[in-house]
Amino acid sequence: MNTAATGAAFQERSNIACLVTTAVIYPAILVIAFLNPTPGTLIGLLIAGVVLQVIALAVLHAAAAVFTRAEPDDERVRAIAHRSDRLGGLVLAVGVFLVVCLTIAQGLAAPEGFAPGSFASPIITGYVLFAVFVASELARMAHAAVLHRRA
Amino acid sequence: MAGRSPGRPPKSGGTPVTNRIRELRFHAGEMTQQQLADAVGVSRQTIVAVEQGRHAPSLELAFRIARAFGEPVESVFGFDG
Repeated sequence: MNTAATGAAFQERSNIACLVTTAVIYPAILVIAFLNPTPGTLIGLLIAGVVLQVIALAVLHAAAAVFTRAEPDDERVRAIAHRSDRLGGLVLAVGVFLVVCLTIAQGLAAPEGFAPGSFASPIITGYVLFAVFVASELARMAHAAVLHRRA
Repeated sequence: MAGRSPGRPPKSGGTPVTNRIRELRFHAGEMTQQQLADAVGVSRQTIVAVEQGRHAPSLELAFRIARAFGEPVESVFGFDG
């Protein structure tokens, strides 16, 4: 009788692969781009990161497909996706709100002798927005990974 | 089964929907979770989650599971809320 612990399904392995590659690649891109804020650094690193992630995901998914039985995308998987999407959306909304606050603060704050807005930096705003997007994706996938085990 | 909810009580943090799937699988010739999953068109992980009270099945899935055992749905599932 088969009542033992659940083996990971393909969807769960796929989610973990996306989580790991995202957690490794995009924070590293952000750190490198922030430390070397030259024009095009973020764009160049992003292109390289996306290509790297596509290759890594193709390899990991191929391995998962070989070692995992195909399972239907059933109601439990959809429920997990729905719940984790909600958390990712919440993180994204809070992050975007904080970026709006940061942008306004950048526009208002200025040392004596400088006009308000002199220190507003679209580059920093862009970096923070990208970090928020990465954080929301990580939160979504991490929550899904937990729910695949517990729900 | 009249007068009480069938099946094991829910785990803490689980669903109040109880079930007798484990018992019914035993009486159905030691049917495996994978066989039941294939019969009702879901993954084995979903059957495990339903059986352990971690996932409340949809009405459609509850009927499919009951039909797989040839039982009325109310004898397979109960509500302990």
